[in-house]
Parts: sequence; C-alpha cells; structure tokens
Amino acid sequence: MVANAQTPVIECRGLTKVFKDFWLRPRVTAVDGLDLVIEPHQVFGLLGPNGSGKSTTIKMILGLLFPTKGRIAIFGKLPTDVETKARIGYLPEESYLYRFLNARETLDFYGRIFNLPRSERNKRIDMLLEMVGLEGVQRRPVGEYSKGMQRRIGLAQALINDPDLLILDEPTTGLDPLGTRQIKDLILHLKQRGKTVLLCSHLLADVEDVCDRVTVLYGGRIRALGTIEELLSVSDSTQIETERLEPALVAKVRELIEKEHRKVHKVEAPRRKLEALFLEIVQKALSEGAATSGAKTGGAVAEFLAAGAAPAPADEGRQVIAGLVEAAKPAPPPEVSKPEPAAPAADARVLDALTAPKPEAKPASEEKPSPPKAVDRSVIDDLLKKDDPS
Amino acid sequence: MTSAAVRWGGRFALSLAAWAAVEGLVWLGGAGDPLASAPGRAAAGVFAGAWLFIAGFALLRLLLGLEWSPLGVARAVVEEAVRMRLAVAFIGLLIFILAALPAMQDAETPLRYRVQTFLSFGLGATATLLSLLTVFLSCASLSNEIQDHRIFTVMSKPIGRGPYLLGKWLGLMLLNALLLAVAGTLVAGFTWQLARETGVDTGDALSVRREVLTARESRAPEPADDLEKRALARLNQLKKDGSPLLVEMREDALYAQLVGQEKKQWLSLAPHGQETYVFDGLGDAKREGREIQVRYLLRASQAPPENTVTIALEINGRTGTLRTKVNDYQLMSVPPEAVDEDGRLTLRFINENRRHPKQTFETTLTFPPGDGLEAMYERGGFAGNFARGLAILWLKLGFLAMFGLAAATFLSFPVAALMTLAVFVVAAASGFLIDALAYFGDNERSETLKSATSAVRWTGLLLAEILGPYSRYAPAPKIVDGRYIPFGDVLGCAASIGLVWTGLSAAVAWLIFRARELARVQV
Repeated sequence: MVANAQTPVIECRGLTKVFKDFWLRPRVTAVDGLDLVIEPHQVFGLLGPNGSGKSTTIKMILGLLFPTKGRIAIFGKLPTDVETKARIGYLPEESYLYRFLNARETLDFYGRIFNLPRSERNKRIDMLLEMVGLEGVQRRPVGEYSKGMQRRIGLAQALINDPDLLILDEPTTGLDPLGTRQIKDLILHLKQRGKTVLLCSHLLADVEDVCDRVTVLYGGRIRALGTIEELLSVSDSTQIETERLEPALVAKVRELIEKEHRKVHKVEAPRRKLEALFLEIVQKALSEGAATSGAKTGGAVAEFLAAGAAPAPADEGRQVIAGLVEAAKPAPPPEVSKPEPAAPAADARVLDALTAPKPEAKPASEEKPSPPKAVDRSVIDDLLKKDDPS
Repeated sequence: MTSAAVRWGGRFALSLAAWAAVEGLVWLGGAGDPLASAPGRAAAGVFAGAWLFIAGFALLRLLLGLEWSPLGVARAVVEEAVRMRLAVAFIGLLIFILAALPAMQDAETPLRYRVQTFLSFGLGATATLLSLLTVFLSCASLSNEIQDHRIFTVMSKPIGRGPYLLGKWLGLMLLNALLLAVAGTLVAGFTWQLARETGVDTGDALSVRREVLTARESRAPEPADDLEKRALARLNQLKKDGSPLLVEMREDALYAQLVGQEKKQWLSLAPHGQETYVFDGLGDAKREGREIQVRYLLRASQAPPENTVTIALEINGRTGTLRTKVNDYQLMSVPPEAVDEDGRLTLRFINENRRHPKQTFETTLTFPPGDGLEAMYERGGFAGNFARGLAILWLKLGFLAMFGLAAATFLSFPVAALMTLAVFVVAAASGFLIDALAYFGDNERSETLKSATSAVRWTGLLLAEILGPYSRYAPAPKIVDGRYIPFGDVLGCAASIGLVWTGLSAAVAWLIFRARELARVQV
C-alpha cells in the first residue's frame, strides 16, 4: 500500500478556491493558484496564520470542497475517488465525532466504512485504544470526553486503516504535552514506515520538530517552500554545545575566538524544556499509580502501524511511545547545536582546538537539530566576574 | 453464561417482578381482571413494549452488524435515535396513549364501537407519531451531520455519497420496522384484550368478531345505466336551454355535480319506489360457501318513528319484509346460495311496507355514495390484514424518510423539516384537498382574483393528485372496519410510493448531495 515512488502523493496545480455569496458574486479568494507537490515518504508541513487557506486546501484535497480552478491529484487520482480514500487517514481541526457512540463504537464505525473484516477491526481497535490511552474509558460516550480525549480518539480513527497518507489538521490542538509529544513521535514513526504525512498547523515548534518540507501560506498563496534546513539555517553564526565548562575555560574559548577576529554573541547554560519537565512529572505520577478518570498515557504504537517499519538505528521506530519515558527523564545536556551547512576554515580550526581534548564528542552528522536557545546573560556575567581579577 | 446475559437476565427478572407487583396491587384494589383496568393495562404495555423493543433492538443490531459499509452508517442512525431517547420517547408516548384510550371510553358503548375506536386511535397515533419521528429524524440525521461537520470525517473515508445516503435511509427504515413491529404488537394485543371484554349483549360480542376482527372483501353495486352518460345528456340540455347555472359555475364543476346527482338519484328510493342493485365478483364467496354480509346505511329525508322503517327486499325473485334502522350502519346476512352462477348478487329494495302499504312511512331513503351499500364476505383473518396494513404504513414512512433526507441535502434542519412536514400533510390530506379544491374560487367575481384562485386551485390540485396515492393507501380505516387489504395493495403501494416516489426522491437527493460542497467558507 505504499505509494508508487514515481507518483506524487498529492499534486496541486494552479489550485484556486473562490467562495461566492448567495448571488454567486466572488466574496473570498481562500486559495489562489496554489502549486504543490508532496512526494511519498515525506512529512510535509502546511503553515500559515489563521485564514491563510490551509484548511481550505485540505478540504479540497479530501473532496469536501471543489476547486474553482486548477486540479488536484491524490495518488494520481481525483480527490473524490472512493478507492483513493481507502489510503487516506484524516484528523480534522476539531474532532467531529458521533457524541452518542463510545470510543470503541466510534472506531468500529469507521473501521466498517473501510470494510475491514471484523477480527482485524477488533484487533486494530484494541491496539489503537491502547495507543491513545483510552482503553480504560472506551465504553464512555465520546460526547463526555474532554477535548484532548476527543482529539485522541480522532487520531485513532484517522489511523484505523493504516493509511498511506495521513492528513493532520491542527493535530495537537487541545492535547496535553504528553499527547502532543506522542503525535510528533507517531508522525516520525509513520514517516519511517514510508508513509506520507501532511501536517497543517500554526504551532511552528510542532512543525519544525517533525517536518521534512514545509510551505508557508498567506492569503491563499505560497510565500515560502522548502526543507526545514533550507528555510531555517542561519549561515552567519556558529553554535557550539559542550559539557559544562568552567568559567576559566569559557574565558579561554572566548579569547581563542576573539583572537580569530570573531565576535562571541552569547555564552549560556542551557535550560530544560518545559515539555520535558511536564513529561517527567506525569511519568512520576504514573509510576506511583495515581488515579485519573481521563486519558492515560498512550501506549506503544499500534502493532499494525508498526509492522513493516524499516529497522531503525537505535531501534527508534518501535519504541516511539516508550521514548516518552526517556523524554520525561531529566534531559541530558543538549548534545549539539544546529548542523552547520559549510563551516569556513577559521571556524574549523576553532572547533578542532575545542574538540581535541574531548575525543568522545559525537560527530555533528548524528546530532538532532535544535532550535536556538534564549540568551541567559547571567551565565556570561558569572563567567566574566570570576575571570575578572578586579 | 456471559456477564451481559446475567445482567440482562437480572433486568428481565426485576421488570417482571415489578409488573407482577403492579398487577397484584390492581387486583387487590378490587378492580377484577387487572388487564381490564387502565393501570394494569399500562403496566402490561410498559413491560411488553419495553422488552419487545429491547429484543427487537438486539436483533436489529445483529442485522446491522453485517459487513457492508452502508449498514455501518445505518447502525449509527439507529443508535442515534435510540441513545438520543427519540425512539424511547415514541414508544413511551404510544404506550401511554394505548393504555389511556380504553379508560376514556364509556363502558355503556357497544363493545364493537369501543374496539373500533381503540383501533382507529391506536393506529392513527402510531402512524402520526412515526411519521413525525421519521420527518424529524431523517432531516436531523443528515443536516445536523453537515451542520456540525461530522460529515467531514465520514466523507473522507471510502464511502461514496450515494451509499452514504442509502445507509441513512436503511437505518431509518429498519428503525421504523422495529418501532412499527412493537407498536403494532401493542395495538393488536390491546385490541384482542379489549375484545375479550363483555359486550352490551351477545350480538355485540359477535359483531366484534364478524365486523372488526376479520378481513372482509367488499363489493359495491354497479349501476345498470351509464350515469355519466345521463349526466352529460343533462349538461347538454342545460347548455341548450341557456341555463344560468353555466354562468355561475364552471362547466367541469357542473358536470361533476350532475354526475353526483345522478349517482345519488340511483341510490335513492322515493316512497313506494324501488331500485335494483347488482353486486358482481362474489363467485369466490359462493364457491367457498362464505356468508355474504350486506352492509348498508339508510338516510331518511324525514325521521321515522323510532328511527325505523319497514321496507321490502327482493332476492332471486323472493320478496321479504325488512324492518330496519335508519342513520346507522346495518348488517344483513345473505346465504352464498343467493349468488348466481356468474358470481352476481341482485338485490331489489322497495321503499314500501308490502304487508301494510298504507302504513308505509312516506320518506325518501338514500344510501350515501361511497360505503352506503356494499356486499362483503370474509376473505381472511385480522392478523394477516393487520400485518399488511403495517407493511403499507412502513412503505409510506420509507418515502417520508427519503424525502426528508433529500430536503436535508440542501436545506438546514428547520427548513428541511418544515418542507417535509408540509409534503406529509398535503399527501395525507390529498383526498380531502382534491374535493375541497374542485370548487375553490368558483364564486369569485373579480377577474384578477379569479386568475389567482385558479392558479392556487390548479397548483393545489396538481400537488394533491401527485401525492394522491399516499391517502388512497390508507390501511387504518380498512383495518378498523374489518375490510380486507389485498396483497395487491401492498404491491401497488410498494410500486407507486416505494419505487416511484421514494426512487425519485432518492435520485434528487443523490444528484444534489454529490454536487454540493460539504464544507463552507472559513477564511
């Protein structure tokens, strides 16, 4: 069920959507001549402020809206093609579910629409309920769920068919950090399995963490399109991250850099992310067996979603959710800063000098991209004070 | 034994005990047969209705569990109706009405009338409540799904818009089948229970069996002369004479009135006058040796003493005296031997007291057109007739369900419900509307208003004619009168209302639904 590598998963050409009023006069141009190609195995981010045309584009891709101009092909076919829809999973911007059905019945309802055999359906439902942490409340009507729990069951319904293309419209809205992290890990996991994900969000951090390529829409038009690397790399500065350095050593580094006629903008001690702290607290409560009537921590990725995943280095794929536990532990000092696209010769010499006594440091190519940290001037001040004989 | 079976077994035992307790209390209260009292009947109705519904719902779920995606949609419709308490409210209201009805009737009224009243109101309430439920549920089920965007999730799945609509309709049809089965069982059960009660006399109890809890084929007399020809001749004469009637009335309306007069004339007996009525198509009754029941109603132009007249009746050349009530339906038994070899029964009524001609009460007697005079014979049992009647109701509900869905494909819930309700009312009253609109605006003098009233009349007539079969296939009056509902009626209803109307509504619904955008501007 993996898309043919030759065929783009989604291809929009000159896509335009003009909403008209009662008298058929053009009122709003929601999408204006959009050209978009999403290749297989990509996690593609659709970014933009409210009203930029993201959701309209998604609805046209799903055949819920018809383009005014232009064309769309999903797996090379029309969006209204029923067979194509069997390969799509969709989580709308809000969980539009039958309030009177419980979680299990909800998944069964959608599973039946995919014509999944009963035994397979039940197996998947069990796995998905466990994955999204709702197995304990599966008999409660969805209408009684909190918003976050509804998002979880919404996510589960989007995955019931093990889709080749997963369309997520604001997937983390209403979710706690645990759920947010789980969705991000799940996206990475699906990508590893060769799936294609279209992520629509205005939470930039989420997109940055998981997307290969992004496009930024404004006024229904593409304002930027490219890989995260292409769009976010800062070519005129270098960030080095090491074990904690003594103030004297920091001064030496500073001196060394300044000797090369380079400016040091900031020296800071990294801080943990609030997300990591939150996950640690929840994990601790879980290990203490604290009771909750809400959703539990999600379980491992459902087996049917994990099956067929390429063996990942460090077994990353099968342990996505288990990774939550590790994420909840006090974060080790961040390993590396952003990868450098092309370091100038002078920078290379500085790096060599710095890394020489620490041969165990990991090469930059294995490092995870990390957004720039906020400047903590107090660390620099401390360093300067201690090194300053006055 | 699974825990669910234990749980349901416990609930059944508990409700059984509660029912027995209520019946026991009624019995201790000195009401005699608990089922003859309103509280006892209500308790039995609640118990039977609730468990019939639960068992039927379980069966329905099994059926809806079959692997076919439209059935998944159908199941959601059924679950919505049940869990949103709509279906439960319907059954509750019906049980209340059925239990209360006998208590509201006078015990001095002949049992036959009480049973007929109960049947009439019970079936009427069932049909009306189910129609309303179908109208609102069909409109709400689709328009709310579009309104609150649930359809986004469903339509992003591999189900076409046609199969989705089919699933919705199947859900409504199966829910209606369940509710109709439960309601029908309750109405029939209460009817049989009521029929067991003591009548005002032995004839009363017998007439319940002969005239209500039966299914009788009916034959109306055919006039020997062509009444329409006679009416046309009269019209031509009026034209020739330059009658002012032709100025006051439209020609077609005048002709219709003349035909009515001719028929009335044929069905009238002047003092000392006589008329022969031939009933055809009674060969089956003769072959099967079934008794012929001549059912008639005589209206007298002047009320005779004790509302009774003495007239003569001739069958096969033998004349007898008949002392009969006027202004009330009467039943007269005729042996099957009276039917000739061609299956015809010939009756000659003479408005004269043959024994004492001078004592003849001088009044014109008239059999009202319609069901004023007919020959009947038993063709089948009450249960089968009742079931065929329910099948017709179900087919009609199927049309309403599809029309409601079609309206909801492009209208919001209140507008769609209002439109479907309007069609239901026009369809149900189409017979009356056709009669009422025939003369609408005839007395209008102003030419402008005449054109306007004419447009209203023809639009109304067209609509009423199109929707006519809805009121023509009305099983309740037939069941109440113990008239046979032929299987052909069920097939006819299935063809005209089921296939043509529902099919047309489905085609319109599909065309609109597949062409419409399900999302709206949100920028």
